Amino acid sequence: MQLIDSDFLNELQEILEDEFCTLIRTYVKDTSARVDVLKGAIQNQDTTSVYEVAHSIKGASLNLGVTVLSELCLQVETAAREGDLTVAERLFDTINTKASETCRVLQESYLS
Amino acid sequence: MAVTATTQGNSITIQVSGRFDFSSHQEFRQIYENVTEEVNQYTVDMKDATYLDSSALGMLLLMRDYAGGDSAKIEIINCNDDVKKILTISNFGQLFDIR
Amino acid sequence: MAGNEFNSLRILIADDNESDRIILKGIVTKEGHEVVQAKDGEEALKQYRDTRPDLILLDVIMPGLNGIEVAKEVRRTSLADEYVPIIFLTSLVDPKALAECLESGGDDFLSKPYSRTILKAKIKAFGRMRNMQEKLRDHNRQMLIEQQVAKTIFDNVAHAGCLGMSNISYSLSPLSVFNGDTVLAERKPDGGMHLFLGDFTGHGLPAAIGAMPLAEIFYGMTAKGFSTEEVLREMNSKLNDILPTGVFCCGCFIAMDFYENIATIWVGGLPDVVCFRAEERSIDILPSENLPLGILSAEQFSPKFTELRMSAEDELFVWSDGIIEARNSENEFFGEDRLFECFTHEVQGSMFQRILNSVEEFVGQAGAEDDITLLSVKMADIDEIGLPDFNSKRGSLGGPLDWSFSYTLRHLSLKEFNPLPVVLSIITEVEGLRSLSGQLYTLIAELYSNALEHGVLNLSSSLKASPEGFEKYYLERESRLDSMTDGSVTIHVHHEPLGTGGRLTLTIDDSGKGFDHKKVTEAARSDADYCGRGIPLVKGISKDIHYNESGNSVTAYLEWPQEK
Repeated sequence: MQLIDSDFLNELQEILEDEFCTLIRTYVKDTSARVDVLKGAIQNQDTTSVYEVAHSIKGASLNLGVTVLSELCLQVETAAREGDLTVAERLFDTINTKASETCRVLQESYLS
Repeated sequence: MAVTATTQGNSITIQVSGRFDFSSHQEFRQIYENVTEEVNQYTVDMKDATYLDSSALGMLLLMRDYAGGDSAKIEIINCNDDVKKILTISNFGQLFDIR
Repeated sequence: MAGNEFNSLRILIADDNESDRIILKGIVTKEGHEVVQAKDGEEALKQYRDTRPDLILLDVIMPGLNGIEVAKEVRRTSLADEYVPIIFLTSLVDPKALAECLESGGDDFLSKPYSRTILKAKIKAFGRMRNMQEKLRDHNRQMLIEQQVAKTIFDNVAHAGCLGMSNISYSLSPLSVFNGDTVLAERKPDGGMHLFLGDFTGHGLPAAIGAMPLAEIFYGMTAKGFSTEEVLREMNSKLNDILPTGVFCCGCFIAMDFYENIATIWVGGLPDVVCFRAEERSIDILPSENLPLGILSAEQFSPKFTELRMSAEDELFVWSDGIIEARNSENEFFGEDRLFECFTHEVQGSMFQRILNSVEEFVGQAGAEDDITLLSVKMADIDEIGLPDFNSKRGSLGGPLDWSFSYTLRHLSLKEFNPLPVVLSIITEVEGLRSLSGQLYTLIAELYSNALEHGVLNLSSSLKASPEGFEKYYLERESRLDSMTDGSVTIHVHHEPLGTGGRLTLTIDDSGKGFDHKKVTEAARSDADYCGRGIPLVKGISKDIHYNESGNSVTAYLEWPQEK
């Protein structure tokens, strides 16, 4: 599965015009920060916080057509809502890697 | 509230059931406005009517007008006590044949 | 905005996620709408209050106040006639959570990823709804203004009349004209009183529109001295002309005669009217004997009146069905039985208040009587009630001062025409005489009926000496009127200025052979209840009065201003 959906992003670029770069920068900045928050929340066993931050990454990613990352976060969110943190613990490393890769690809494709 | 009708030769019987009020205006009007030409004898059967309000009295007057005004032959039958009382207070006996 | 297919809306976007806001703002701006942003719940509420958006796009999960709480607060604080659609932004899929969004006041969802096409379609749909809602609100405001104006006009036409008099009690909702109920009362020039309680079928403006001409006829004709039946007939004809078939007015018309202590009552389609006998603590029930007003044409209308002799303090009670159909919390009607029961108990204070209290107690909440139309009138003696005071309703004192006319009624007119209103109307063109119209009416009425009954019809007033004779007298009067083949009465009226006022000379000639007026005038003073009030009454009003030698011409003088 591709990390990003280029057709989807191109359409967004058409709508947003100059604001599109702001969108990419905001997403990259927010996502990196949120992955750090997720890490801390898992360490603190803070279920609510895990649920909220996974929900945020999922939502923002969905809207940019970043499907892989949003699917991973959906699993974490769903389990955390039921009070289950094992999924978050198991998937965190993958999420961390995919997030970094996604951000890099986005920056290379649209900001250079 | 429901209105049904049966026509036999030159007479039509309209059965009213439940509350006879403004909500049945459309239904009631459609029935008397769509009678065949030979109909000249109207019967309103109140056997299953539980209540009647002043807008129902208005509808009866409209039907009377439609059926020829003073020359209309309309009988209202099988009224329960409540219905009969309302018709009596309004003195509709002067305009309709109430049994 | 009007006439333009496209409406630019102000849209509030409330989302804690900045990248989501950028995307939404981009789409919404592209569609030509104005965007207001908020990054959490508190800011969303502040922006809502400050910018009054047309539509809110609201994220469900936000730190602090979440979307659900924001939606509830928006719905709680918005004006009754203002509705801002709320679309929840969500990636939630749990049906329970989605249902909670709608219950909190949301109207729709937009799920992620946001689709430009769907968002555009939703904004358009809610823009349409918002337009309709605005139109509805404007219509509603317009309607309330119109109702207010209509009520003011109605209140001017149906002014309180003499409803403030001490022998009348009534309860009527301030907006009753829009639920079809009307109460009217006015003094008659002869000292009597007309009262009317009406209940139109239907509600709102149609009912109010019918009440206006009704009130105008009632007041106009009553003050001019038309008889009870004439006023009622005119009210019926007018309503029959103007109301569509199926709309009518149930009513009760009462004429009070405070000289004879007789009430004349017409009931058409209203619940039973009650006469409460104060002394005996009993009631007489007068059922409706007539069709409501507005159903029968003028030719078919033949009102049935009931005459009731009443003692002072006896009281008539009239109501519309509202009081009988007042409901308690168990949805039971107050009903006629409970109503009639009120009259069987000893009461402190007025019977009228006792009835209102008992309805309130039954319904179980204060102010229940707001929707109740109830009227009562007590019999009283004319000395206590006094003559009506028809004050000039025009500006300065004026009108013609120097004039005369003669009006001859021949036998065909005498049979059924009442000349008093027209004669009185000409006389009261003189402003200075307007406040005396009550006395003038009595004066002309007495002299005219003497001329007609004792002169033209040659009836003897000695017939009226007993209750049986009283009735016989009127039967005889009817039959002689019917068979009359000639005869006439002429009314001469002459007015001239005198000092700062004027002098009115009234002469009534009849074609009868005259009578010994001296004997009648003297005999009258010792007579009992049923006759002979006429001449002494007239003498009390006019400055001077005299008959010609043969007794078929009488002249009365009246000067104004009069000392009070």
